[in-house]
Amino acid sequence: MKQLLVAALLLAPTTLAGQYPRLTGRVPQPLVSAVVPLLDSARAAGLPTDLLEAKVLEGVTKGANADVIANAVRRLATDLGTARRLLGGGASAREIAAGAGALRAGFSGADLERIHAARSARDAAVAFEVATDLVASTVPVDTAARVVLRALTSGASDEQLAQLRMAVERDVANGVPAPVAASLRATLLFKN
Amino acid sequence: MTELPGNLRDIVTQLKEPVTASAGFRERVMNAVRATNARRPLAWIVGGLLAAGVALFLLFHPRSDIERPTTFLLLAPHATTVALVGDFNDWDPSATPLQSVGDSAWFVVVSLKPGRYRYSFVVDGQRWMADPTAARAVDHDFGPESSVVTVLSRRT
Repeated sequence: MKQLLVAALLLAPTTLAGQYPRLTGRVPQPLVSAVVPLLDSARAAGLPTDLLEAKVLEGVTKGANADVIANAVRRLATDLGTARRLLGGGASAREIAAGAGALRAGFSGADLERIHAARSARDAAVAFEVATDLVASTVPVDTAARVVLRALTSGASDEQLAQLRMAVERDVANGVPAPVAASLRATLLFKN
Repeated sequence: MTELPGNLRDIVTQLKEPVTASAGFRERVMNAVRATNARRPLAWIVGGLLAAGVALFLLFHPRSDIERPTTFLLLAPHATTVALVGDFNDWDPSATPLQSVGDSAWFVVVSLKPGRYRYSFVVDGQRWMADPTAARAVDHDFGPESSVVTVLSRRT
């Protein structure tokens, strides 16, 4: 009986890898053993695992070692869990993923809740994504949160949010300081 | 005029005679015509309802899963190969090669469902390049920077 249990434990990672066909054939066995439990936990918690699998594959393609990849997956899974808790059970997979990205960019849980509330019944994924992209364009987090909230309270659509992001990126590329560009574009696009 | 053989002459004679249908046959034909005419308004109503249903479906369906062609472009002078890797192709350098245009431009069009994707270019099989025209990803867990592309659904 004990021998059977040991054999089952040894075979378990290989068997589990079959649950993640994207990883099969791409991920070496030591990494499978490290990441599959993380993926299983995320799946059991109802979190979207697509992003976690993509993170594993990105790490493999970029030649990162198993520990670095496992840590990155663990960190992302934690962010996904936090985002899901903040956004509630009704959040879509894309909202959870976008919320996790926003947390990683430096937004607080309170920022996420405010943006989500301002979006009311509609999906807030694009709002989170635009906020994250503004930070990537060197807009400070508090300015990005304020600008996105202003857009949402004006009833901005996803297309308008995307326009805001593109305008700010263009301004920054042309030498306008990022906080100025974000505030100015928000004022021009969302006047009320 | 050529004289026809006897059997053919009989057939021609029969064909020239006027055909008279029985009263019962005429009645059955006319009943069928009347029934078809009676069903025509119903067919128009059903057809109209179906068309209206299709129009409403197309108008209000979120269409969130419809893929949209997305173009990726990179200027890479002197490169011999450029590949696109990202969340949408499992970061597989062999999955999405770019085509060269002119001396230095490379492009590829990929159909993507609405969503947000991280990606990067691999030049000559070894050099990683973020997209200089796109937003950068904020998480650089594995060294080389990546870019992000957001594909919006048609109705948001």
